[in-house]
Amino acid sequence: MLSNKVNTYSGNSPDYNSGATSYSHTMSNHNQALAVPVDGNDLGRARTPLFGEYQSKELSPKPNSIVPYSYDSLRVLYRGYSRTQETYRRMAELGASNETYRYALKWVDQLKEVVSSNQLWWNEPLVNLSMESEIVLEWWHENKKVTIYILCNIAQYIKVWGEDIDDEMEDGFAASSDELTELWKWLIS
Amino acid sequence: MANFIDSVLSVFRYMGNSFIETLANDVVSDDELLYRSVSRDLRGYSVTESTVRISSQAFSDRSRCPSVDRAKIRDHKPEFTLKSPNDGVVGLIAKDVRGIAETQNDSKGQPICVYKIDVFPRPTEENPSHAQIEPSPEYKNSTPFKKVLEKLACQATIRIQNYGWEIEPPELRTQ
Repeated sequence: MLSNKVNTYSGNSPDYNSGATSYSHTMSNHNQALAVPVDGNDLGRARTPLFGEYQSKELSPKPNSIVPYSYDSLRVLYRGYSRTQETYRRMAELGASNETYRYALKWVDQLKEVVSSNQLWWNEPLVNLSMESEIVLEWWHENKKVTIYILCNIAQYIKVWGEDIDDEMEDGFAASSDELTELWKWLIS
Repeated sequence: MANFIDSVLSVFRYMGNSFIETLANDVVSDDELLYRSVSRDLRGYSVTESTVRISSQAFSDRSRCPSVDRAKIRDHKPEFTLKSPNDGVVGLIAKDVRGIAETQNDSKGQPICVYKIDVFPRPTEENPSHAQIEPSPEYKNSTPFKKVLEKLACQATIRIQNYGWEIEPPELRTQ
C-alpha cells in the first residue's frame, strides 16, 4: 500500500538560532525513507531535528501532491549531517527554497526515473557543493566517470573516460529525459 | 631593553622575510612531490570495498589555483599538510601536473584557448612550503578549470593505486 508517512521534528539548534522546524520523510512504494523539506524552511532549520525532539505520524496519501519519490542522494545531506561535516553545513545554508537545490532534487528524480524505467545500474553519487555554490554529483562506473554541476536550473556534465584523460573528456548539458538516458547509458556502457 | 628586543625581533623578521622571498623565487622542480589534504568532511573522496576515488572537488579552489605543499620543504612529512585528523593526504608529482594541458573549444569544437598548467611556489609566513597549481592564461570561465580538477583527481587516484596515500584517511587507517 502506498502511504505517505511524515515525521515531524521540533527543537532548537545549538549552533543555528533557528527555532522550531518541520521536516518530512516520505515512504515510497519501494519503502524507502525520503527526506522532503517542507513549507520552504531553509535547510539550516530543516536539519535541526537531529538535535531535537522526534515525532512520527501517519498521513493519508495525497494523490495530487508532488512528492519526490526518490532522492536518496540528497537525503544523505540531511540524515548524515553533523556539525563537523562542512559540506552538509554549506549545503544547508543554501536553503530549501534555493533554486539550485530544488532543481538538483528534480534533476536526480528525473535521472532515477530514467534508470528505473530502463532497469539500469544505479549507485548513489558523491555529493558536494562547489566553491561557486554548485551542487556537484559524481558517479564512477568502471573506468568511466560523470560529474554533474548543477547551478540554478542548469545541469552541466563532464564525462571522463579512458587511459588518456588529457584527451578523453567531454562536457555538455543534460536536462531532458533523452539526454539523461544517453548520458547514463554512456556511463554504464 | 625594549629597544634591544625590538632589534632582535626585526632581525628575525628580516630573516623570515628573506627566507620567504628566497622560496618565492625558487622553482618547483619536475620531480617534486606535492601534498594535498583531502577532506572527509568536505567529501573529497569516496571509499568503497574495492576502490578509492578522489573527488574532483578535493582540488576545488575559490581562486581556481589549488594549493599544495611541497614535500621537500615539509621535510617529507605530510602530517604538516593534514588539516584535520579526519582528513587524508594525497600526493601529486609536479611533472604530471605540468603535463596537464587543457584545450577550450568554441561551440563548433574549434580550439580557442590552450591552458598550460604549472606549479609555482607561493610561500607564506605560516606555510613556507605553500605552492599553487596555476593556469596560463587565466581561465576564461569555469569549464576548463572543472576539467583540470578532474585531471588532478585522476592523477591523485592513480598515485594512490600505485603508491598509496601519503596519509590514509581515518577509515582506512589500521588500528
